[in-house]
Amino acid sequence: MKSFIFALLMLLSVTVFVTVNAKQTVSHIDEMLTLTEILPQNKKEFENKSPEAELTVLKLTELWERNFPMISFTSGYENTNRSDEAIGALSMYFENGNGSDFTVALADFRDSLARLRILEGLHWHGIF
Amino acid sequence: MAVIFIRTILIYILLLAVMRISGKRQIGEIQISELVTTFLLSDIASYPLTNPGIPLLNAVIPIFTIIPLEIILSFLTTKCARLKNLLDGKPSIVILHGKIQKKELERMRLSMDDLLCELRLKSISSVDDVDYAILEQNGQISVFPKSQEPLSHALIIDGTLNTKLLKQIGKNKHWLHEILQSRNIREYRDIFLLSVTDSGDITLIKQEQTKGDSP
Repeated sequence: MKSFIFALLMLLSVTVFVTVNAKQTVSHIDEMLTLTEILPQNKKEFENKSPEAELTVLKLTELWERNFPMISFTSGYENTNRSDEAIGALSMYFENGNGSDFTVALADFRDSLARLRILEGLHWHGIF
Repeated sequence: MAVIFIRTILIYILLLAVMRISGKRQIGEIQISELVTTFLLSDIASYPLTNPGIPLLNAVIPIFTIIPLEIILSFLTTKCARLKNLLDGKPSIVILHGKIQKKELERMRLSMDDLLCELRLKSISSVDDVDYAILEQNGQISVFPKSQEPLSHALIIDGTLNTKLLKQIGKNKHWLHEILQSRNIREYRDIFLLSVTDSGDITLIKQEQTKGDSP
């Protein structure tokens, strides 16, 4: 009976840990995805970008750098490398003023984040 | 990580079902759930060891999921005979009083060659010499020669009646109810163990007799 209770508690602890971790990671990813939506989506928008766009890019980079260790810790570097490379490129092209490459890097970053969201959240596609 | 957690549970259940369907002969000397746990743990543990890119948590979470699942399942199977039968199956009589039970052999996917081989390994040359040969839940075959003491058949274990066995030994529920009435027992669930030998000797242990034995 003791081992049964111990096993139940262990399973419960793992379930709570996994659920809390998944919710936290997904909320961070959602926050980053929301920020990507307010950035210029094409070359024309990039040329007419508002002064806040620079702040958004900075905030996005900072958010990614802050969450990168935790996401890699649970998801693995293999799954976070693409996002890490994309955010680096996105930041660099923004600084250089290269609008067409910036939008490509932004799309890549968003796509890689969406895939991470599937892997880290409780999503049918991720499970199967 | 949540995906890994859910996948671990799904694969564990899937492997249990597959091993159960594949038949008793595939198993060996351990129970199905133990075999599945051993399979999974050995593989999961070695994965992050050989690939540093994979987080250790990807092994830790499945291990800490499978171990409690195995303990919970083992506990539940000791408490619920139906669950145990579902997971491990029931012993099957493949030779009864010197006669081969062909249907049972086919159902268990056990060939005549395998059965004869098992008999030879137990130094029995003819099927006629066998009183009972039973394919156990762990895949082993227990053989009882005719010269041995009569075999005891466990008809009721922890309140659950094995109706198939009752029929196999040529008895019926009416016979069983008469025995229970003569011993003032109303329901099967009051019985921990009821076994009967071919010579008709009955062993009955009530549930109340098993309580309070542990220190």
